[in-house]
Amino acid sequence: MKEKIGFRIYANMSAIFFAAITLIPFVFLVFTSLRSMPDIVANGPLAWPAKWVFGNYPKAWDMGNFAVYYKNSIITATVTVICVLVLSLLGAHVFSFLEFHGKSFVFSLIMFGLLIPFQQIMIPLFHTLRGLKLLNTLWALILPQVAMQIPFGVLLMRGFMRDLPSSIMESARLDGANELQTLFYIVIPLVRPALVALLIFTAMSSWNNFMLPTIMVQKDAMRTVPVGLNYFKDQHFTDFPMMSAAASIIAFPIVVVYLIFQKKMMQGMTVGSIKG
Amino acid sequence: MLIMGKKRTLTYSIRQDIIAYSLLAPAIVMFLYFVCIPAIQTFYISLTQWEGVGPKTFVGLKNYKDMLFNNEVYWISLKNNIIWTLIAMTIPVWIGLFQANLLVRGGLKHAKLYQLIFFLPQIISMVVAAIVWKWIYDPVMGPLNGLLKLIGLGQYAAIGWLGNSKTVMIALCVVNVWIHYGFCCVVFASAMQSIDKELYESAMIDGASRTRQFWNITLPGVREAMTTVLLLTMIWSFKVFDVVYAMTKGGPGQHSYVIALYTYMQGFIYNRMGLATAVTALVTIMLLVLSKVFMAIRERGRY
Repeated sequence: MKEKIGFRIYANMSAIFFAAITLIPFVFLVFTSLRSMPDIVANGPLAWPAKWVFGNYPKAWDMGNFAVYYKNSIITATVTVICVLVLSLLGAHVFSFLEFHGKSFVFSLIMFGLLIPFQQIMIPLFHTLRGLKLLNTLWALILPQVAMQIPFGVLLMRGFMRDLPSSIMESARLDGANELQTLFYIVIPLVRPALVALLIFTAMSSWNNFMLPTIMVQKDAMRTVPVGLNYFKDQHFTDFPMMSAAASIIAFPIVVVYLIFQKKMMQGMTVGSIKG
Repeated sequence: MLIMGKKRTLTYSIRQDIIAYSLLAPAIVMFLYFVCIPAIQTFYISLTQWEGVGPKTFVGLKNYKDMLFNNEVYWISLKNNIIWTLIAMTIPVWIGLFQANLLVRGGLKHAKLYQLIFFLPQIISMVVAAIVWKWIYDPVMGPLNGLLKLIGLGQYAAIGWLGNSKTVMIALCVVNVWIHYGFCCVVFASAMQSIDKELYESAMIDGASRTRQFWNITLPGVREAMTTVLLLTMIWSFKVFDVVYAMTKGGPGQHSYVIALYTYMQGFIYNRMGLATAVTALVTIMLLVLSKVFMAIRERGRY
């Protein structure tokens, strides 16, 4: 019994220690954003704010182009998610329930995409998109993201669809439902948890994608949130309160979403590792 | 598929093919056009000299030779990337594993809350993390040096952590540990939850210590999760770009270059497409081989 209590205390201490390690940088971020630069110079980085300054937030919002970045990120993520969900559902349905010529070849071709790192495609992709005159548009972000997400989406959804009892599919066919009707009315309601996980995974990877927009977008009006923030950071690299305020503006909404959907978010973002 | 069995002769027909391919068409076209064909083109471009515009001149393996034999920065990038990968595959993975074990086996009241906190760096943009940590490391006004002065280690505070070629990679790897261990912890914790509780109970009765239980029950129980985490960590590590680009852009000089950053600079800043694609082609092949080896080891472990 004694051993058990000792272990509990040890486990608690360790958890608190690591929680602190994770949280302290964020606490610094918020504190710094609420101080003024002269205050930091005079009293050092670790001091309690001499005066709480809230003006950094509206100032950062005005100086950066964050409304535009948010708009771009929201459009990009929304369109990407919708396309990925639709295409993955269609693909997975076909691979799970239909027999056709070339099935295993096409499936392995698409699955090969799981092994291709983004760096392997980025240079020809850039020139393809330039040829299509899509550079500096949101399409240059949406189309590659959708294409790169298809293999994983199909694999994930197929994994769940194959577990469905075949009697359900059979009875739908006997009732004369066509493939789209079967997919829509029977399959989708049954694979909803997986669909939600795919939605979260895709939305988060699109929202936080950094390298693709860094390459494809040079115009400020087309920047997404992470790239816009990085640009802002390079402009104001000596003004720590301003930079911290900007970073907080970017981090805050996503943290709120995370706190609301905590369990679903964690599942969605680790789905690749658990199913993979 | 079982249900198809009796109908196969009838349905495995042209009509079925048309339905299947018309539903697949959008996915196939997008995949071929934006992923598959570019992936193949990369191999071809790596055999040419090309500035991004104009004609490509076929030069054979010249780019590979240049990269391997007369390019110091490539070797710096590779060395840094290997350091990064080795640290990422050990320290955060072990912290995550031990922490998950404590959360699950210790039966902590707030285990879910702790996981929620550990996982936090996963959801924010890496640029936010970069801003926080750049500030922490700042030589003049950073909290890290402030702290060192406070506890009497002022002599170390003179170092600009990100500005010094000796410390920059370690400083970046610390950030990556901070980002990554929460992910490992959450994955391991969910794997540990499905380990049979009775194993632990009978181990307790036999008087096995917690350390023994960890090595003999927990570790084998999360074997599958462990290989997955290690494989993903390795792949992510060789693709790392965001944190490095946002924190140091490879500096000071070229001392914190990693492979992805090197490729980006060669391909999009210096317009040396041949060299850039040669680097990615080699890394892709290396990753494919390493993944295969990994999968083989994993399969063998499944008795």
